[in-house]
Amino acid sequence: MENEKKMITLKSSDDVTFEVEEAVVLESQFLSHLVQDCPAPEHKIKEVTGKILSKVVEYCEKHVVVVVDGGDSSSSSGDDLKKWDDKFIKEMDLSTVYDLIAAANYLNIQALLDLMCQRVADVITACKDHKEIRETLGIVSDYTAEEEAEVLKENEWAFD
Amino acid sequence: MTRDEKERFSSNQDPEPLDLKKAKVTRLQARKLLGKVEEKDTTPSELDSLHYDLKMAIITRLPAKSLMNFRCVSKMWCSFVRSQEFVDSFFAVSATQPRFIVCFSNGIFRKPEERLTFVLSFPEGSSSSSLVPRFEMALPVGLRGSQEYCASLHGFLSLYFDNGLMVCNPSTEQVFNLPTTTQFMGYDPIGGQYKALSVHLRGPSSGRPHLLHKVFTLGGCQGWRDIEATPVPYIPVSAGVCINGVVYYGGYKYNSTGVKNPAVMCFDVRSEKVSFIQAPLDVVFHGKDSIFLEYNGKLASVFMKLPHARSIPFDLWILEDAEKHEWSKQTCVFPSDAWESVSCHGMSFQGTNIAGEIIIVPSVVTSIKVEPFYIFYYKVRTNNVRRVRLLGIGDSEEFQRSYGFVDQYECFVNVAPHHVDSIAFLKNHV
Repeated sequence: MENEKKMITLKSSDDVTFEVEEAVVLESQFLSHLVQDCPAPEHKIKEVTGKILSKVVEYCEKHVVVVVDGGDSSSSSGDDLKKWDDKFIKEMDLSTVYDLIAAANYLNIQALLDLMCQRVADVITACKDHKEIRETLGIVSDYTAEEEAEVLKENEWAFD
Repeated sequence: MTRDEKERFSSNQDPEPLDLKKAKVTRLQARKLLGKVEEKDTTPSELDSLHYDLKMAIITRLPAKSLMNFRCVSKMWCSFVRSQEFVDSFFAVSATQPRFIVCFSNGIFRKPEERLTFVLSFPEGSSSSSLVPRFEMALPVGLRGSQEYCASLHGFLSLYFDNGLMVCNPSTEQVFNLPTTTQFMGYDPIGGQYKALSVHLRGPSSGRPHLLHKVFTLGGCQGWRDIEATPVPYIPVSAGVCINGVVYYGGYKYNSTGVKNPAVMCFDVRSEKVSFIQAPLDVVFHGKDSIFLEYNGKLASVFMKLPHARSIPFDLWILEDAEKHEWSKQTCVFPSDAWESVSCHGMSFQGTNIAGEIIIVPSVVTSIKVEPFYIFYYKVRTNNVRRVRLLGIGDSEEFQRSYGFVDQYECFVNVAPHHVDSIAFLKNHV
């Protein structure tokens, strides 16, 4: 079985290489086209670092869907996959999440992009106010104190 | 971020749907050939460094209330949240999940400063027979009555309260407080404008009335403007309902000999002109208690011999052809057994839902008795009624305590179907 599978090598911007099955690469629209158009055994991905590419590969390996024709493939239910996704994102700091968003967008892996964007959205939603959002996401406010007060009271009621 | 915080957050993202009959997920190991993954000490990436489209992809997933917080984070994010492109895309997504708004105002006879109106909502598409509504906002005013209309106009609610008409957006909590003289509120779907109309008599009424029409565009900077809506004399008598850019209200139109005839006035929100449709007397017979609603995209009116009494037949007049002034009538019987365990004897008609069922609610909720609160959906074709119980309203003492429904007073209820969450802000020049 193993011998029949076509292997592809991916090389990150900092020259870390990953050997993966072709099915894994097909999770990415960008890589699918790349592999089809250019049948080289190794592909350099200049936009993605080794640290992030390892996460991308990890995700794609977990999510790769193979049509079964017998063999030793293990199966994983939708629930298991969701649990795996939850664990996958929880182990990550936000900086990695942002890099993965950029990488998933570049490599065109919609499900990974959705998962990561939702992660950031969930973090923001869990914040109780704008100050907590700034603190959690490390955003530096460019409002002056007056401007901030102005924005905050913008939707205060104009009752007589 | 601490570990606790990390654990608190969880993703709502569902994984890709898998057809497990046909496919299996295979775990394959990547083999690292060369080098190792270096944990380089680089500057951590920031949210702000992401491409514009990716920032948008993130904030598109935020609920309205979080977006309101996010707006205050920085100028850049504020401009994103406020951009027309984002406001429109948020609305387009929300429009696929319309909500049903329910407003309660506590203690009809309480002092004005003690009165409050609570705005709640639930998904309109829900087929469940009981549900828990989501709290949206509280307003420091009381609703004027049960028969007046609360309407949802492109993300904004218009409701009549003690001292006039109020327009508010439950998502942003922006509120416009319009003067006592404001009678009608409409939305022009083409120009995307909200306009308030005030109609009152110019000088003492003798013979044929001369009306003064004033219009106020919400978010505009012109203030109230006099308009020449129509030179034809008429008197408005009822509340209005806005359907597809036209505000309809009942009244009487005077002919050249001074005889008055029942009519429905049509204020075109975009052109600001008033036209008239001849109407059967029934439609305006009860004056300010006349009931207008949208029925399958058409204007309809409900006539009952005794306004709002429950369990008596009512006539549904439908404006079939506005140009030919043609109305149809059918008599409807509301099955009395639907009122089981509801003590309120009044019912109020509050429009129709997406399925075309007429929405009926008890006109008041009493705090004298703890009992379930239902919304009724009446299907004209079959005379069938289904009712949906709203949990946590009227049926618990805790509700009464926490919402201030005390001292055995009654409270008014208004509902508005087809509400779409919007994060639009209108400049407030009121």
